[in-house]
Amino acid sequence: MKIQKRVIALFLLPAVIIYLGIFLYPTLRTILMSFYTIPALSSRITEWKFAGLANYADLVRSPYFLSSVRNVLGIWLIGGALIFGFAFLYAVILQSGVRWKSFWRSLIFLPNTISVVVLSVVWLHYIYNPSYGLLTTLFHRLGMTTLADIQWTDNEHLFYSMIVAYCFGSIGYFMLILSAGMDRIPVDYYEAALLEGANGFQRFYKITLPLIREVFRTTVVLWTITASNFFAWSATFGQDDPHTVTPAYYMYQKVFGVGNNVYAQDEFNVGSGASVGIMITLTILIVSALLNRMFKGERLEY
Amino acid sequence: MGINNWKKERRLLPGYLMLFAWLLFTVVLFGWAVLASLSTTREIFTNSLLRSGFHFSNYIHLFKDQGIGRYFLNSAIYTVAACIGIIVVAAPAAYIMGRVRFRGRKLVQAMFLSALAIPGILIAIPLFSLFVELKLTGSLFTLLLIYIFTSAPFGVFLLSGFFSSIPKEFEESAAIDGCGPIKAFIRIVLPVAKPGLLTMSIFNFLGVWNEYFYALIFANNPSTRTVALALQSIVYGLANTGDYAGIFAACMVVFFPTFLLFLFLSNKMVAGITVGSVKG
Repeated sequence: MKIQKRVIALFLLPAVIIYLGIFLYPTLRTILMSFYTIPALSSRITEWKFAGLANYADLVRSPYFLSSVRNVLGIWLIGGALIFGFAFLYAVILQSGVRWKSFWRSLIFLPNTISVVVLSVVWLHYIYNPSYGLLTTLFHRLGMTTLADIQWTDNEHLFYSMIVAYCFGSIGYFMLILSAGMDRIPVDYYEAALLEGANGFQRFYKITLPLIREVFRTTVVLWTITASNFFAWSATFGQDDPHTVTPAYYMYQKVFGVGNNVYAQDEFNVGSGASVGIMITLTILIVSALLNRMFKGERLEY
Repeated sequence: MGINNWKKERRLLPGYLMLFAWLLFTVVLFGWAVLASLSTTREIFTNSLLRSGFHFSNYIHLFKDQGIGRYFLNSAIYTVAACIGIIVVAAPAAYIMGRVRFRGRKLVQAMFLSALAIPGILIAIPLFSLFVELKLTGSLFTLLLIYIFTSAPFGVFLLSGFFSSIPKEFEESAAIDGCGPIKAFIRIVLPVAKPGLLTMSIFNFLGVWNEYFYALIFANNPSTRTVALALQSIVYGLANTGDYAGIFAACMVVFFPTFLLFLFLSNKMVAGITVGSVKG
């Protein structure tokens, strides 16, 4: 059927206007803002003062920003190891021929459907609670008093406690994608390997891993994007504690924060917040490009 | 069950153990929270949940003293209206992208794809200034528009796949019946694309109900606040007054709607993620 140009334009128009106004224009404006000193969120362009790369230079020198970068690197590494470890483990288990596969798949995905605030509160006020919490109760029952007496949310443990709680809510999504990739591998490969006497680990390393390389790359890129934008858990679980602040949350505190935190002592400058956004986006682009290059090589067809 | 089957099941035992470990943890975590929400704070601290029966008063207090009902209503409005709004904006564009060849199609497609990669943190500051300048702040419309706008590109991306799989004969027969393209789209194509619209709306429902970042920036006052955001301040207050049973009841109020959706539609959620990821 032939569709007139007029109709095409009419159907596309709302989405295109949204793209230009809500994505393209703010992106360009943020890039521009990152080179200026801007006294307030409502400042007009005439009030902006050109600062060159000063915003970026200040950030790299700021101890608060640097510690937020360290935190996000830790989340990317430790959280990534936990998430991919468990996601692979459960994807392999689901592929091994267990019963009630779709039930288990849904169950592992369940935490992904729950609000970050609910997960944070339940972990903070139940699992990690020092008087009636699950961990302390469990360890007391087992007679392990040193473990039972650990304060899971003190300065020393808060960061790691947050990563564990966060991973519980994120494993399912990555597991589903890996599992879908594994389901596409023909069963004959495994049967042939089984006849040759390959054990479970050999089958995983020699067949599964090479054949889902593309899917694995996609999930690592997705994880990098997610980790770079790590925000909600810093706000709900960390609650302003510097041990859990990430660059995204640092930017929020600087630009939108109420002002009663350690960052308020710096001079208020919206341009500085904009440069944090640019740095996060650049990191995502660079890491994705590197990952694409790392995973390059001949594509396996099957 | 034959001997072979038993052998097979025994080989799978470690896998089953891991799966049941996840099941046990999930049941303990949420089961405990449900029971705690119906107990008293004293029972929580003495590990004797429900000793004195069900205390629905925890929930009644939330609605009477904390006004959680209003926040719940706000979130319900945001969620339902955004789901409809996203369809209105994304479906026509996805229909064109999925089935029509036209000049500039590659460019438009690149636009929508690039929008998927733009993080909220990058656009939040100018968006905020823009909304202030257009005097769009302070009402339910603020966050609602933000949700519709920021979810539209993903909607176009997801739906164009569904539209491209509908057979061409549908519109051809519509054209023979004398339907114009707009009428044909609404009357013939949209109903056929219902499964796609449902899948998209499930994800939009979860996304909007649980959203945190934009809600914090664009709706941080009592009359427009979402229930997830309100939960945070309610919990803060209740922890200070030592009402721990109330804390878990408040969690349940936010948890329940998405859990209900999960119970009935978890298969659709899983299918939506696995189909989308393998194609992409």
